[in-house]
Amino acid sequence: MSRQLGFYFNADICIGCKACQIACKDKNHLPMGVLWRRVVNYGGGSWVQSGDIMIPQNVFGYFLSISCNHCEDAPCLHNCPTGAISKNEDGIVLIDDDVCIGCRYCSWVCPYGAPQFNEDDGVMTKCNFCYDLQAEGKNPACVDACPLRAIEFGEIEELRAKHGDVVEIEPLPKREITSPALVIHPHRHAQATGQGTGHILDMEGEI
Amino acid sequence: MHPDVIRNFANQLASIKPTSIYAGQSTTKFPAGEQFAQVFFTVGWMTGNVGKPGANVSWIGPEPNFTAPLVTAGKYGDTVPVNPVYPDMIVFCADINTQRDWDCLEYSEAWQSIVDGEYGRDVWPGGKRPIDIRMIYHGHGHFLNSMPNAKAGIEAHRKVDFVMASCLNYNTNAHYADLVFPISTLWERHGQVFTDNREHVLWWQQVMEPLFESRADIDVAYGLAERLGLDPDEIYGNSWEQKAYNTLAGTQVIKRDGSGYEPLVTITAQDIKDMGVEGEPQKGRITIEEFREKGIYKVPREADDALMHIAHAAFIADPEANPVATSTGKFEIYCPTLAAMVNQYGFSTIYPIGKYQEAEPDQGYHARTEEYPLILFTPHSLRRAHTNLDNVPALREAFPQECFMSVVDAEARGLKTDDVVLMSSPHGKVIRRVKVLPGMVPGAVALEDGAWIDIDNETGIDRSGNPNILQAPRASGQGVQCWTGTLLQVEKYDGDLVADYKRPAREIRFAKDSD
Repeated sequence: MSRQLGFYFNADICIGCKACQIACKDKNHLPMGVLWRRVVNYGGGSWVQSGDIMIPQNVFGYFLSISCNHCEDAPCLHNCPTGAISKNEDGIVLIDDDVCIGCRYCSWVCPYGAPQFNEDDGVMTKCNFCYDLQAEGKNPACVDACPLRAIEFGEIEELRAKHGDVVEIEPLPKREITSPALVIHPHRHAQATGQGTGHILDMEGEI
Repeated sequence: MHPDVIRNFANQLASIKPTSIYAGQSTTKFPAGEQFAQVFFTVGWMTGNVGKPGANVSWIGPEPNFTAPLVTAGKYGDTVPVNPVYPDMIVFCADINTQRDWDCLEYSEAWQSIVDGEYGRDVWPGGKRPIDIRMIYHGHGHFLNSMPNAKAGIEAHRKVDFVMASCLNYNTNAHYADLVFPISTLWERHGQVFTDNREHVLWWQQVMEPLFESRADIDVAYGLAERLGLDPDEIYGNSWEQKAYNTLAGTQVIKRDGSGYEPLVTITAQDIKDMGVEGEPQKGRITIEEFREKGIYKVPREADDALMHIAHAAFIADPEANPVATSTGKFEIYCPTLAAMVNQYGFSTIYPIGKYQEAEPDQGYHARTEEYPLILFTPHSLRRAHTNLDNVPALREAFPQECFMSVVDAEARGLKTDDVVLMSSPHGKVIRRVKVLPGMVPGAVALEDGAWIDIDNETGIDRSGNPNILQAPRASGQGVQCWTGTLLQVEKYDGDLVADYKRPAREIRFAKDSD
């Protein structure tokens, strides 16, 4: 493989507006229930009574905008019984519509929830890194939609050189599972994977 | 609020000069909210943050936004007819000595007033006034969805003889109207120049023909005038081309020295001929081609240019020579004129000096009861702009219009995220799914404004989660709308609620689209 494209996400400036998610949905004509990019709200904490007032205790919250991470060790690819999933020369993980039988094995094994079933077409779908836009020299839709410029993309080694190599932030899984092509600038209240005191705050169907 | 937060704010305000202090309008949208504005200004004045570069105290926004614009679009040039009943526009509470002022219907209580057939207060000259409204014409906006006590609003719509609504889409106004006029969007109309804010003007262009039978508002009014036996050409005689030209030719930009205005656009005799309109050539700063291409003109600014505006600078520099418009000529921390003006309306009573005040017996922290122990506040939703775009399924999926509740209040009620809850106030009920947020202050519940009302006619419960179903018809002070402070209860609801995005969008479906 010559190249491995990846995403960089700056959680410290994300405001959770979901413009990336909506731009992705719009550009890729995704039906309801299918989100190739999802903005996850993670938080926790409690309140204690002190006299007449309630005082927050370790209350925190932050957002992560997550799509397919085009993992170097992609379990979706390894577990696809029909060989419909492959990596292209840019390291982009792609699903071949003509080969996919919609068995959903890939969605079961992906710890990021990236592959999603399109009921209309009966096939699995996922982020294709807007390779069509990239071929025209344009940015992926999510990158351009972010009003905070919190999402970047590029050669993953260059992103790591520029932004560090953090990827294990709650509620994301351990790196070793898939080796994701993702770099995160953690939110100032971020909690490390496995050491989180909070939980995902989103509702069913929201992510 | 924790005392340390207040101390920290006080320390910052005392030590950082100059400071600009902004609050946002919602800080005053509760009973006797004028008191907050008065306190806010007092703190700003006492800390010297007024009349100097970098200093500003405003609860509503940057002071320069309320000064003269730097550029404005021209008008259509149509004849604006004089209202035979009210020759001048009237503004509620504009002039306390004018009898006419009392003719205004107060916004928060309007629906209830129409239902009751009377409005006002006993203390008004002549007491409460009878009112007999027979027709509601929604010319624009989304008032039935956007005003408090919406259940009374629906009742008012059913009470009157006739309701018509001009709408871009099938919104709540349309749903309760007898007659709906589908209105075209700006993308479907002849382009024109318009004022966006005080520093720039935009020139939009038509990109598509109107969908189906929709028309521009003015074209609807034109057709109505014809059918009512009026001569629409007396008012709307200009063609769309001429209207658009007038907005262009009439666009004025401030001179660089700030001494007055001059035309923005250079227009030649050939331009006028090409556009097929009547007009005179004029000299301006930019050509028609440049403006059309860019679609925007923004007044160039430089540091220390002549267009800088510092509010109250003259008064601060020389208070004797430049008094402000109060009885003493000074900023009045203690202002009996203000209190008298507000109190005469009989909605509530405020002190002449800003202080914390429990204004209403049925609203706010101190009015909580066992039946209604929680306080409602209504932030804006990222799903929509006020009520616009609430009909877009992808946005409905992203932002579920949830009932935001604190961890403490949810635990006390045995609620967890995704549970269906009934939210009740003395004025109405809505059902939603609850989202438990650690960041929510215990005792407060948030429901975002603008969801399109969807009443279940069997139960009378609103399924959309529109907070105006819960809001009190509560006029306060000078006509403040008390959006914050309505009391409510939230409890588990024994019933299902299909997610908004899984329900059909409320839109007109034509036969040819139904395949």
